[in-house]
Amino acid sequence: MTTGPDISSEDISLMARVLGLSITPADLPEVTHRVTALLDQLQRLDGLDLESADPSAIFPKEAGA
Amino acid sequence: MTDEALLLAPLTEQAEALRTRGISAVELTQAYLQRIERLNPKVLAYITVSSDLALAQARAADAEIASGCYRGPLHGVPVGVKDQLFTKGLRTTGGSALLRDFLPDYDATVITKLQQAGAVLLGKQNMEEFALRGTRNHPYGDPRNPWDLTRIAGHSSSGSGAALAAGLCAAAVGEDTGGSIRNPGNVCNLVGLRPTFGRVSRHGLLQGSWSMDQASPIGRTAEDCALMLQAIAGHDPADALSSAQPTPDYRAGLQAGIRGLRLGVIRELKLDGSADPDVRAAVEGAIAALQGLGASVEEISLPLINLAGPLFVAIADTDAAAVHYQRLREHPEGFDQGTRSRLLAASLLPAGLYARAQRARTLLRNQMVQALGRFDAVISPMSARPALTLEEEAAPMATKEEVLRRQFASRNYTTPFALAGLPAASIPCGFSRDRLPIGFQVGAGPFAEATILRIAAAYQTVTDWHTQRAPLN
Repeated sequence: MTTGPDISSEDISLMARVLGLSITPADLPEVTHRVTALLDQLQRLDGLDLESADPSAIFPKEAGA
Repeated sequence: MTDEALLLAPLTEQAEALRTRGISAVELTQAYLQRIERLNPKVLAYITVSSDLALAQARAADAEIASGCYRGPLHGVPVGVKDQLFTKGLRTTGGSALLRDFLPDYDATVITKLQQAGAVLLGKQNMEEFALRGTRNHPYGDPRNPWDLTRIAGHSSSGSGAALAAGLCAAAVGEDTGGSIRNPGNVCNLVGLRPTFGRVSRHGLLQGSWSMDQASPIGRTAEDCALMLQAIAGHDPADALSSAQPTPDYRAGLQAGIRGLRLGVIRELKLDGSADPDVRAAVEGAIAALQGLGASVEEISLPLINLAGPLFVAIADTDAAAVHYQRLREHPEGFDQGTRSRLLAASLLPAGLYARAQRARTLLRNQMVQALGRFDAVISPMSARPALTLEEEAAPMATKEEVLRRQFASRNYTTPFALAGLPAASIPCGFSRDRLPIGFQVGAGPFAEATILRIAAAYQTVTDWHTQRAPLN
């Protein structure tokens, strides 16, 4: 299991405030766990050759074809 | 055949009864409405029952059929739709209290197409809030699995799965962003088919993830799904991303068998000893049955598939957070707690990581499409275990490790096809020792829905899992 950055619930609360979001004390622990878990998982992308791929969400063969 | 038995029969049998006027659309619709009144309080499959509309449509269908104007196999057939599809003048809640009184002023294209096919709309079916898995307290009641009322009916088209399994409609149209029609198919003993992205119009569909949402049919058999897909598929000028690829006859190849088809079993999704042994046995049995039908089966490796869960969360959740940008800031308390925490977390993902996830998505897609150049279809389990209990599903995620377990690994089965824009279906393949349904998944290349349906139909000629009905009935 990869180890992501050490992010506290205070960090999450501040990030949310900067973005105009409010997180209640009841929601804060789970939101923190979700963010840290996702960041943890996305570290796995570091081993991929991402530069070789466009960030395409829609693939030419399907879109409007 | 009694009315009750007909209500649980495949759509094709109901359609034939209507065509030959063995039963009228009004009689069939009334029977469904009475059954909904009796059983919906147990399964909470419907949010809104459109009795007056349904009976009006049924009367119109009877008049047309009697005059010789037969529209096709859906004419007079009572169906339900996920409450994610706009219906003009009929409330569309998206499974959320925030849209409790929302009345669209137009129909989704899918609704229009169903009307043109002569289908009868029984009502709007329950779902997880805004089509996001993880609703903890459904504002319209927790949809329950007719196979075990203590268990979920799947994510997120749960009402559609519950309704069909409980005999409360002949077929349904749900929606699949990352598994939301396949999952209910899996846990409710139904065929749930996610089309290629762009195969079905998104016009009038409450948005989840703009690049993955697809309205999707769910039915008792492969043929039922074929009929429903036939009715709703096709280019729509109102959806800029809908495909102009011609719509084939999805029924045409259903009897062709699968001798000579090349099937790839995805190595990275094979169940190991940690999976439920009944699920493992059922999926292995399905693969053996396909081999017995003459398909060649070999293993295929798709290493990037193990990233699908995190990629999906990064992309789809962020897309959904953008959809609900204003609501999250102005009315956060109006969301269910599970939805809210998911959207808030996604709102904090840096844009650079979202872009990296999209790049990785392209790599995954390329890997899958390349593999599907060697195979007609790929096979995988739908999940590692049968349906969760309502209590398990509603539990908050109290630790990071629990998030990792519940959010990511389980999504590796269904989300790859959504990320890659490819079609896939869940097909019933057995039951656990507790009589909980088990399904397996068939995926294929772009616009190869007919291949998937052909495989499912062939499988259903040598198995009878799909003919079994929930004990609720």
